[in-house]
Amino acid sequence: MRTILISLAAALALAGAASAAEAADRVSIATDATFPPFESVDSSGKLVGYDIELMQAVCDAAKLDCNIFGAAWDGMIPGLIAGKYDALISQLTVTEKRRKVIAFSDIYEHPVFRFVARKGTSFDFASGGLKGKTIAVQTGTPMDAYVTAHFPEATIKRYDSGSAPYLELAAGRADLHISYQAQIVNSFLKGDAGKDFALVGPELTGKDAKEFGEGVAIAVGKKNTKLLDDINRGLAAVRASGKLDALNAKYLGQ
Amino acid sequence: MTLAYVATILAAGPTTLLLALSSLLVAIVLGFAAAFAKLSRSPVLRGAAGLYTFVIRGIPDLVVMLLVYYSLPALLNQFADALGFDIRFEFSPVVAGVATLGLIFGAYMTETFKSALQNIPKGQIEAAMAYGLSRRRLFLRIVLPQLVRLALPGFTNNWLVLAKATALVSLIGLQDVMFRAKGAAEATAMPFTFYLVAAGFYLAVTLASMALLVHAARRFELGTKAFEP
Repeated sequence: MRTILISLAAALALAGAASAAEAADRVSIATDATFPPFESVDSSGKLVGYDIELMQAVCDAAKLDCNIFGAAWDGMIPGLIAGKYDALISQLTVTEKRRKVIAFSDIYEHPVFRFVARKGTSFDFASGGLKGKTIAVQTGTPMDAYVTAHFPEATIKRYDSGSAPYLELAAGRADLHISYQAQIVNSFLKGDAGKDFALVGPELTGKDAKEFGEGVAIAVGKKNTKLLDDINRGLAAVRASGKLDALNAKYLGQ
Repeated sequence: MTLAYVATILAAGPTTLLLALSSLLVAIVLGFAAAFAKLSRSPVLRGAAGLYTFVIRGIPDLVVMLLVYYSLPALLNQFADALGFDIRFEFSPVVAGVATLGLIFGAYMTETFKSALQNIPKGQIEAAMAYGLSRRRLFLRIVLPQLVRLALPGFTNNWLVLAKATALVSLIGLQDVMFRAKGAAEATAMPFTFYLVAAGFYLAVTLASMALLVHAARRFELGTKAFEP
């Protein structure tokens, strides 16, 4: 028993040392690849999307050896804090609450948020106007925080995936859904299931409500200032070269 | 394109199977150790094994997994820091998955093995000892064949539940069948198609396991019926 325990401890120590050595020269970046067009997998399992292309460009510009891989959303921020990953890119909205536990790069995008509903329906987005209506949102997102704070009169249904609210809309179990406009257009409106639906209400950004945050950025561990500097340097180069504008046009243009 | 996604999902099959089989191995080792501990004369061993099965069987699998993956390395690192060691513990999703599933199903295996051991007639052991069989031969010739026969139904159940429980490991980011199915479902907004593919995969694993284990059960039943009342 004793020998088993000792060899187990040695094996664990080796595994630990090996991963620490690897982390020193390779930047591991996690993304939740379930949010097209920002990050998703293509049919061969490869990561694709706006954030993936941007991150690759930033790494190239900053001469970082990056390994971007798909991880589960639920544990991503705790994982970053615990040091499992060096950085996260996943349309992460910068908020005061998040700034307390993780560090953010410069903001690279100011997303537009919109509601989506069945064509021909109209809604009163003034205070108290959504009484009796059901809004579907992805849980733990800025959109969730926004409707929770501003539409207490509505019924809010929360789902842990980005696609479930669309099923609820199509099935008539929800009247409205709110998300990133580009995500609604790409994941839903362009497809067959979304042909009877349309964007409704005003275009919303961080200027309209504090729940939408300051913008979207890459997250890094609080202590990892060197990596943060590298990423910001890469981001500035990508912006200056016009690559960021090209990405915006490719993925976010209507 | 749908077919390409299906191929990608099924290509993760070996990962899921590897995870399940490795976990099974850990569970068998832990199960045997704890079963013998529970039947031993030492109150310390009995207590330790009792505590292990009680605690593990009382906590949801998901909670154990999140604790092992997120909290245990952090705890070990703090411990190492406090002791002044400059090492960092980090579990990959595979290691955390195998450890968790092994730990959980080890507890269930313990009960299966324990009751099988208890159901081997004492008289046979005494007879074997009277004949002067060595402990090794006693175990290999008398105990093990009967243990396999008695434990197989419970073992089969545990294995089938374990094979399905591997889907939980996708929640800590292991690229298994379930993780790939979710990725495909979200990318294409066709959840039913791809979750059905995943369901088909797990069903196929179950069918293959059943065929294999039923065959094994028949072999170990050979010649036993005649002696039963």
